[in-house]
Amino acid sequence: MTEISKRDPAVVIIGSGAAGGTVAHELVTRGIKVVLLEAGREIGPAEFIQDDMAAFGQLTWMDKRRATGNWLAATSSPAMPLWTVKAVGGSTLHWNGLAYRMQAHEFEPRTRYGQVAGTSLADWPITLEDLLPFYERAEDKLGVTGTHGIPRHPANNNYRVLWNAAKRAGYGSISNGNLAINSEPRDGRAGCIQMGFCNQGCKIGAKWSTQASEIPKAIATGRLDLRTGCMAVRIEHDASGRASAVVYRDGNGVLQSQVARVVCVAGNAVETARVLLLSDSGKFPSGLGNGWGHVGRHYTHHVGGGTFGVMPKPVNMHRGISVPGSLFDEARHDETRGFVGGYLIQAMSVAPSFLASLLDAEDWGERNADFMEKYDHLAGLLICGEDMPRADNRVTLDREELDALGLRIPCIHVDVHENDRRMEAHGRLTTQVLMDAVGAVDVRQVRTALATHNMGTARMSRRPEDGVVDSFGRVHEMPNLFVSDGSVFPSSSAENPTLTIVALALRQADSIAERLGRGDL
Amino acid sequence: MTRHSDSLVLSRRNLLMAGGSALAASGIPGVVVAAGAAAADAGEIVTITRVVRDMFPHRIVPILKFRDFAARLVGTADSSTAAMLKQGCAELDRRAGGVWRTLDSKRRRGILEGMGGTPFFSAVRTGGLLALYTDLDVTRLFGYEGPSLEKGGYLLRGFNDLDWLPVPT
Ligand SMILES: Cc1cc2nc3c(=O)[nH]c(=O)nc-3n(C[C@H](O)[C@H](O)[C@H](O)COP(=O)(O)OP(=O)(O)OC[C@H]3O[C@@H](n4cnc5c(N)ncnc54)[C@H](O)[C@@H]3O)c2cc1C
Ligand code: SF4
Repeated sequence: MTEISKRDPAVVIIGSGAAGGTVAHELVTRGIKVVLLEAGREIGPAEFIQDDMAAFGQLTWMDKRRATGNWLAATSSPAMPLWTVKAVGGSTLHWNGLAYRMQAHEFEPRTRYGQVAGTSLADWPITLEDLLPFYERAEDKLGVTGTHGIPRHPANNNYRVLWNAAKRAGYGSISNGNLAINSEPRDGRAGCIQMGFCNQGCKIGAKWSTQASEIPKAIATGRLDLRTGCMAVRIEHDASGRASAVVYRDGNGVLQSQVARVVCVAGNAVETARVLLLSDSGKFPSGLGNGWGHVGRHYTHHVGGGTFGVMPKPVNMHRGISVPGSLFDEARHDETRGFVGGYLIQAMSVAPSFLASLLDAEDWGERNADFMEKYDHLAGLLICGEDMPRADNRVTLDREELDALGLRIPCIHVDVHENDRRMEAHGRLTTQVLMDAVGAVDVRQVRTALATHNMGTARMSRRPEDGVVDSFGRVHEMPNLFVSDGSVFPSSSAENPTLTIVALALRQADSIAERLGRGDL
Repeated sequence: MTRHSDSLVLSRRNLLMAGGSALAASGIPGVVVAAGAAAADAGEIVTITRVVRDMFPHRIVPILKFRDFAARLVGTADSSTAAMLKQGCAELDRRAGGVWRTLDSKRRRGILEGMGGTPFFSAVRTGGLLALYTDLDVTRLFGYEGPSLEKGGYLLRGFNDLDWLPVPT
């Protein structure tokens, strides 16, 4: 692979997941040299393990974090409130590939939902229309089924249950489309063979990830210097306030410094905010981009919850794509339901050990054991809904505790808003109704503690005083520092975030390339 | 390219917030089982076997599966965990006013519930859960089928064989 000198001012990107991998690939294909720092190592298809717990141990970001507040994570997994990946490809190794666009009204929640007390709701500085061309491109890059002439997958058993339940209940908008999983070979990647281990890293590369797609393509250009096992610990700036270098700890534990002309931070919300906060200096005493105090704030992670039902006959939900489709009827904004925003309902299968852990959080003994023994009769549903941003739901640096590298660990505080509770209750009721509609003989509802979708910690805003970055992800206070990931979302929307993250990353990369071309950066 | 070796054992322990030995006993691939484990106390293994069977009362799972877990838990415990396990078993008997495992299931459950939240209870529960439900011999009994790559996925093996509901249109 190409080696870029540490003294050569390069575009330095922190994190190789959906956001960082995309920006890196876009820039190198335009002739720009990129240093990509990735805290994790390279783990490829041959190493992926088709065992949920072992894969979790292999891929998941385990560095200590601390959860506080009244959200479930603070009591049930206070040292590990998030589920993200530390490896080349980031959380796109774990992700399920659901690739949905946000709805038009979700770009202006403050206007459409009105003033919701106890929230920091804000409109996005861009509209759906601004993002449409980038959604198009993102769908092409990810190979999203049902777009660009890509066929949908045939319905698997678990999806068939959701579809029938929804129809019987009277719902109309159900789809097994929009998956970033190849239904046939495309873009050098294989077609899905319905293995059912999408979360464990797809061993045949049918599921899109930056590890399977953008990173190898970027390496092939000869302009990418991917440095794995390298944890960025600080972004430095010059006297004028321009980002000038990134300090990182390499795989041998040695501190290194890479001179930078542009820096993009794409560490997945919590780590992104953490790097900005760790980079405090005389000029920026509360961290980079934090002049108005928004770094780390307005953290959102979606309303969630799972429902499993024992069906009258076998389902075998583990066969095939883990999350094969969604029901959209409840994704609308309709205040007659008693809350603002909406949620999706998704068919979901989990392996026995995860299911057992979820049930175990609620109860133990006979009831769980009987339920587990019906594994082949189970169908599963998940809800994913818009949660309210709040100024005090935020990432800070722990005052005392340091991680193995001597860095202050991130603290994630969340107090659940009443709107989130109402939405969750509505979702529980709906999924119960759906299970009943197909004759479930027993239903268990579980709460999901680990946050897989992380947004909002460096939100975009038109006016500098309202956020951290502009609509291109450029930090208001620093001309050449960008935030590339879901941190920039002012609100979560109901949809899974990654297609929007990738669309924004494409838009950002265009803007960086153009500015560099103009000599503007 | 530089490489970085994660300390998986430590991190997994951290994550699951169980005693290290509970995890070792779970038999998850990659979890190190200490060599030269302390001499196992047969009485303790019998008691813990009963505890884990009560926690996960599967009549279709061979009792030996539970016994093997209990033996691994006791056999791989470091000295402080061993003391904790011993004390937990003694506490069960103390609360039973006799031999806890000889009580009827309702009274056993009552006493176990009272121990909820103790390190003993958590170690057996977390370790037992992982040991049982990551064991394909066990989960196959419930209809799970495990890794599928070698068999070519489920594309030709029933991913859409559900026949009691109409096909989506
Ligand atoms: C189980 C699961 C299922 C999911 N399913 C879906 C889905 O179906 N649809 C959807 O839209 N989304 C899904 N997601 C979420 C999706 O994975 C994320 O939204 C997406 O990957 C975020 O992209 P990112 O680039 O911001 O972060 P990541 O993809 O997490 O990448 C961040 C990378 O940065 C690295 N990093 C962090 N800090 C540093 C540092 N200081 N120095 C160097 N490197 C650093 C990390 O190691 C990581 O590789 C799922 C997530 C999980 C866990
Ligand atoms: S179901 Fe498809 S995408 Fe998921 S792991 Fe299997 S082959 Fe890969």
